[in-house]
Amino acid sequence: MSLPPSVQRPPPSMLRVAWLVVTFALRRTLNRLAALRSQKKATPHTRMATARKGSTGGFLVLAFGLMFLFTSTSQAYRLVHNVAQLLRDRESGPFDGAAYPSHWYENGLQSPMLVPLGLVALLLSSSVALIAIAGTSQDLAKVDASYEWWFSFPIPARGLLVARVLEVAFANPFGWLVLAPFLSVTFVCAGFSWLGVPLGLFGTVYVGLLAGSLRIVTETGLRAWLSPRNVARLQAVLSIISSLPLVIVFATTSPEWLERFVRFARALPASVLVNRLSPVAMAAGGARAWQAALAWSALSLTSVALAVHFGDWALRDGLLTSSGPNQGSRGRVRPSERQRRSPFGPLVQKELRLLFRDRTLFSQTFVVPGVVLALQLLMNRGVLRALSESPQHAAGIAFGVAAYALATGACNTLAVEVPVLWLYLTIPKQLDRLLIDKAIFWSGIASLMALAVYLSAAIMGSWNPLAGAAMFALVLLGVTLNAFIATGIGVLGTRALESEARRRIPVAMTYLYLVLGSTFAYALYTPSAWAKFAQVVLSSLLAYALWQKVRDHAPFLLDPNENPAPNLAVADGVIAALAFFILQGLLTLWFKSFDYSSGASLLFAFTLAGLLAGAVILISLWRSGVPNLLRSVGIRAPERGLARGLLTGVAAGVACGLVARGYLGLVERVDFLRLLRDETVSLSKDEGLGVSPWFAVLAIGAAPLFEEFIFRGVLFAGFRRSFTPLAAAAASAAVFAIVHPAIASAPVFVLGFAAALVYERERSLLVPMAAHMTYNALVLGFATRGP
Amino acid sequence: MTQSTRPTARSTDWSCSKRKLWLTGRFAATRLGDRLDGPARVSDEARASRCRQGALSVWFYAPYGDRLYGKFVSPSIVEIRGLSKQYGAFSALSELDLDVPRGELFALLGPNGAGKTTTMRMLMGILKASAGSARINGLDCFRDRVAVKRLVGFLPDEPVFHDYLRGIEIIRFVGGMHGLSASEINQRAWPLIERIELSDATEEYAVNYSRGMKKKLGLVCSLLHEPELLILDEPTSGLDPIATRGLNALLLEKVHAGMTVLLSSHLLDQVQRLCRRMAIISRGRLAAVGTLEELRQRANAESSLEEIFFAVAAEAGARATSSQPELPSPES
Repeated sequence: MSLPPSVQRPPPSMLRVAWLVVTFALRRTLNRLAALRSQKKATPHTRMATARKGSTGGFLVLAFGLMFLFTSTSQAYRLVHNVAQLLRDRESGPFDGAAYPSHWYENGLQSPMLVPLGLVALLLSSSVALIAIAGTSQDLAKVDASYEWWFSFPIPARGLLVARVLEVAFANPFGWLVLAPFLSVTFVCAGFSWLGVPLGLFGTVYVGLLAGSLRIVTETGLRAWLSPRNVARLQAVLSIISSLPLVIVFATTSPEWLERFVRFARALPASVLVNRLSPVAMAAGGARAWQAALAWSALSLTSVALAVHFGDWALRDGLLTSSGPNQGSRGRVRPSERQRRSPFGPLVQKELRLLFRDRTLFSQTFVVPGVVLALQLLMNRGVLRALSESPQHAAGIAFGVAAYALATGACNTLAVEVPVLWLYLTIPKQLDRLLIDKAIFWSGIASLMALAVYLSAAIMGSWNPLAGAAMFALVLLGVTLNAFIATGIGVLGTRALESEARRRIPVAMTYLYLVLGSTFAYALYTPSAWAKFAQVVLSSLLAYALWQKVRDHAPFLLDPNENPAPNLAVADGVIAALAFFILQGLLTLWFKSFDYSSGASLLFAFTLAGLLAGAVILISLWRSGVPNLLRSVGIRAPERGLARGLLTGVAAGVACGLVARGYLGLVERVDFLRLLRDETVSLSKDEGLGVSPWFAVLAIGAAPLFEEFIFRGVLFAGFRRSFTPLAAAAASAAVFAIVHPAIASAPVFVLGFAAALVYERERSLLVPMAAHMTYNALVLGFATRGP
Repeated sequence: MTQSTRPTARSTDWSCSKRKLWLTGRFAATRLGDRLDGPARVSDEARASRCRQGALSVWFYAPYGDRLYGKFVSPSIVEIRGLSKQYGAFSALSELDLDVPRGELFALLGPNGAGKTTTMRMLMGILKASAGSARINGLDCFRDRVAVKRLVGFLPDEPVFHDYLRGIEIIRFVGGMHGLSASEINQRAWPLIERIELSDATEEYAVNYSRGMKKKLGLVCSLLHEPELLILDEPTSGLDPIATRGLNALLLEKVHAGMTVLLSSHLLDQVQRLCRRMAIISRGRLAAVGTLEELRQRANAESSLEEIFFAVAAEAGARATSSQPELPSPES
């Protein structure tokens, strides 16, 4: 019997298969990068069903990646430096007085530097391996879909396994962002100069290959020997353990712990930490460098060969496609059975079930923040003392734990729901309403965690939990706002059309949340009540701006090419205001370097910042295609004619001025306000900001122009889209008030409110500008005539 | 461009003036998915509750109900006018006009990539039309998508469910999200579950279901709120022959009870037996629509649906190629 020619053809060689698989993965990565860079030009009649929407996410990822690389490099350098410093301080000890850190490699393997650094390298390498095995988003118990696809090809399993090892070895961000900088810095400091960098990368590949071998051994072996449920349990445990080495390495930033760490490393047998196979072995220099390189190559090749051989053997019965760790029961169930009444709505019930059944989510939400807290308590006795003695500190730490827990659960809210989004879209509720319900759910979970931490601190320190009740209430407010900020950032950062679960939400979004969310800690620790209030308003503003965007984008999540109609949003107002204040600060510093008076430099900086911020926001709005741009930001004639408009404005200004006059009278009578006033006045005198002609020009000429544009033209318009006129006026006036000194906030709020109302009526910025000018002129007059 | 010059004679203007609706439409509007032309910011929920408060006017207009209803209710539950969807330069759907009459089983046929799923996704408000409009019961499918979903049940081609939930938990979740109480869900779900033979697997995690079982679960979810219109994307793919026959019987029963079913399928002989009317879409354009008899007349042959399908699809393909902008069109 003769076989058909297609069967007679020999299968491709292992090398060829590995090459194909790796280039396939590489091609995919490159395509993705290319898609980030530019929109592909479509030719007519080609199908482009998943054309990307325009997004700036790529830049953010790149920026965060570079930032991360920079941070870890500088951290690594500091670590090496600190170890050297520590050892030099102990010159009288058992070490000889070699010159640290420049030529410590001359001591070869005996160099005392190598022992602690070897321990760091060992910890980071084991982190790489553990992440490769039990990475957060992949389910070990489930066979990867791509695995099944690869197995449909007429090629031996070995080729596929080799490809898998290479994939893990080369596509591990943790290795490239943390281990590679550390090894490079170590080799550079050891005296290899620029050659240290490629050597560090070489070492990273070596560790990656070992991790990849481990990965396929566990992947194939565990599936063959353990039940899916136990594999999932093991993975949950491993994913927690994988963060431990990193935490220990981070702990070495404190000198006390660095000393303990070095002592511990020296207590271990040196040959365990520094042998030819250790990733820092090359740093020993001389003839040992190439020996180490040889040993690395030999070990990595052997391990890959052994792992592939083992995997091939474990796969002898096929892929063992178990459908996952969850096995329910089959069989007829009577309708009335298993029905419990629940106080929660269907969405919360579902979320609770998922939270307690999904072990990865559970451990990331509850266990990891707990572990981080426990380590902090162990490492830093001060934290423990603060927690058990002061209700304030306990509340602050409770906030930290809750906010950290939100970083995974809340940020991933939409990303984990993407495959099931169709189900949500058959439900007669707006998607953004459902997402708000989820944000509320997460704020509830995080608040409970904060409460648990706070109460256990109270029990530990045996103080009355009511002592810090006000502070804890602020913590709960902060946790709720953070839940909305985290969910908002997560929703806006999610790429719903991405088919690969891992890439649906960039890690940068989590960092972004951690940066923005942690600003609320300022409200907890600042002593000034005004600053607390201002921070609450700013966090609420941020949360609101995000959710307005969420509401705009929610209907278009699954649409590959439609975007919401461009419109003014609160976010634009926030960006404009931020740009204005940052530019103003920078330019004031710059102008002070010339010999202007402080009033003049303030005026110039203010004007230039206003012009620049205004131009930037106008250009960005124009580029995003907001229709009738100039009219919609109020650059137009008043609705009822110029004269009547200006008259309305002046009248509003006079009315607000009278209110301010009354307020000034009140300030004289109320002690608290008088103290605040005197403080503010003396502060501004220190800065040299008396009442000068420059200041008058600033207050009457420049301030109304730019502030009205930003706070009425953009911010109020953004609020007006979703609020009634009165609510929008109050919201924009609140933001306007908190950027002024505390003493002036009450009358400024009134002015902002009135200006927004006249703007709403006349639709022209000239009117609130007139009101603002009149008001400022009147208040300046009162102030100069006053005591 | 071509959009503005299109004749719109057949389309019904549902966005009648606020006053007109106020005077006559309260009753009809309550029936028509709770839509009153209120201020744009009023949410659909608020609008619906306002309609519910109008009980007095419903009582007042009740004697005229039929007349009012007749005035507002079009014989077609789905009205698609000039519907287009562009993906970049590729047009997945161009200027589709389609009416689905009430109380019928209507089939949407066409080769792979013809635009059937795109049409259904636009009907569900998942995608926004690049041009034209799709209305269900007079409600715009994108703008009024929340109200539309009270009337419509949807089953996608490949339903995906949460990893860590059992079948029955998903059913309870969906029912709860439609506002049904636990006892209502039980009363409605269990007969359906028994009927489509899913009762052995309700306590199993849905992620372990086979494709056909997922379809069955999705079908139960889509029928829970007793929709007026059921949109099914290839409902029989993945189902075994027994289940397919059961599903067909179920659909016919629902249609007799007044439900409208819009389904897409590649099983032409089944469609021929089941559906009264059908539309054939090819390359994003409507190639033919009508009853089987009408399609036969059009194809000038006493042939099966399969042969008609091939003839119409080939013809539409040729037309699409000849009407490329680079080439001069023979007709014009």
